[in-house]
Amino acid sequence: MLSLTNVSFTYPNSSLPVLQNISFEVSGVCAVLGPSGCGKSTMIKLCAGILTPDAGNVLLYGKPINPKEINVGLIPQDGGLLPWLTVEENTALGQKIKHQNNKAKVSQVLERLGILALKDCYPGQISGGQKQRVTVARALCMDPSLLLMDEPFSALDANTREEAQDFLREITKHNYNITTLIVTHSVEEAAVLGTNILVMKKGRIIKILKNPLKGYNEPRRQNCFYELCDSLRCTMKDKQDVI
Amino acid sequence: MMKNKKYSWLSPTLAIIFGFLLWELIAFLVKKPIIPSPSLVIYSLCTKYAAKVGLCLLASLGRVFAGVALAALGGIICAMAAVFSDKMEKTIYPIIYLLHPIPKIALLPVVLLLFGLGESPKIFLIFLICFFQFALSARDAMKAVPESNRVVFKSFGSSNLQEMWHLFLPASIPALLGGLRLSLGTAFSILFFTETFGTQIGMGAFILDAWMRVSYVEMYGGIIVLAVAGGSIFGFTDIIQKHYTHE
Repeated sequence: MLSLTNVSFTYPNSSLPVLQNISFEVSGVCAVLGPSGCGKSTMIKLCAGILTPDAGNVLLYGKPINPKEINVGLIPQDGGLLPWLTVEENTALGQKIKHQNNKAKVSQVLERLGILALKDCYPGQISGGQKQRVTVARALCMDPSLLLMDEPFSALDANTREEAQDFLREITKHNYNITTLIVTHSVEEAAVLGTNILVMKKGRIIKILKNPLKGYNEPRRQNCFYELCDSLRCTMKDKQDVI
Repeated sequence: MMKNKKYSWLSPTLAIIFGFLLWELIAFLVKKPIIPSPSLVIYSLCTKYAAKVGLCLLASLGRVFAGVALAALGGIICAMAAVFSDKMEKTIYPIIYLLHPIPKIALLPVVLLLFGLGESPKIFLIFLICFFQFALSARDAMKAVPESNRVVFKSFGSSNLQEMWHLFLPASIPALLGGLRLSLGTAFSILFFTETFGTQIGMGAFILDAWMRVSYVEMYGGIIVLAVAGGSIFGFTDIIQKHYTHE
């Protein structure tokens, strides 16, 4: 359970607040939807414990988030893979930093994600979709309590993106205990991935809703998928008051 | 593609052979001791003074490696200080910007007076030539590390030391090799000059001594050895870079 209470944040060299009085509580998979520059990535960094809020609290199961103490899996927008390390070494990066050595776990995660055969390849030698799997493997390898994804599929083409979304749904379905926050500016992505959807605008939350598509195996084929997408688009365009 | 890679040694080999043939032709046409034939130079090098030139080469390479290693260490330390602290960058780098354009050969008399005629002035001058290049290129490479890489490290709870060792240092290696290639030519030229002062063993001393004795065959032998040594180091940096960037 991830909870943010009255969280505000302003970057040191700026006078404009990026996040203003954010409060929500989520478990399972939560999609954070909003246009570019609305503070989604900053929220991810706050949830990862990389930034400290100016006001309010960010808690995971009631405790402040300290990446040295708990395992956080973070997947940034461009994946953040190190080009000089192999797929296997990139996957084991968290273990290396935390002075752990569990090669069996690395192999197990790579196999589960279907990329064990690529373990000796370098990021420059594999496709965009495969790279995305490596970033997920790197995050899952640490058995994270919190999984944070910052527009993880934005660099992929439409087909690969859909495949990656389905793959992620499969992964999160079998990891109920991991609280997952997926930041996206794509309405469709939020509708497919989130069990809860949180809509942000100008540093504030303007809507939180439960995804009616939760539980469907093929959410894109449901009639309510398009209704949900339209509704989310309207919410993003609305100038309604924040909640 | 595989065929091209297999025969990649062919073009440079042919170019070297062509160069030697051209030199042979010029020597044959000029017929003066100042331009001896390359076959004679190489024959004499292998049969008459291989041991002496080998010793001189080892001494010169030792000085180059010592200077380059110290410069790389200093450059990396400055770059890391700049990456982790804006204040440090604003303190160190203006000084580097001021000192970098000074032609280092102009400092030779001062360095000789300060350090004497031993090993230290030679190593110090090579350090000076390479240091600024390393400090600038390493800083730029480290600053160009994507924010996302750093965010991933932080999310794993990394310390600054771990970021330095596992992220910033590896990320700056291609830039350091580039800096090395840029400064190595100048380093060899300066080494030649410094070894002409009070030095018994060194390629500079070897070539100057041969010149003074009007032994052009020996002098050209020294020049060839110096060229091969420099070229090999360049080739070595290329191999490291290719291995590192997986091209």
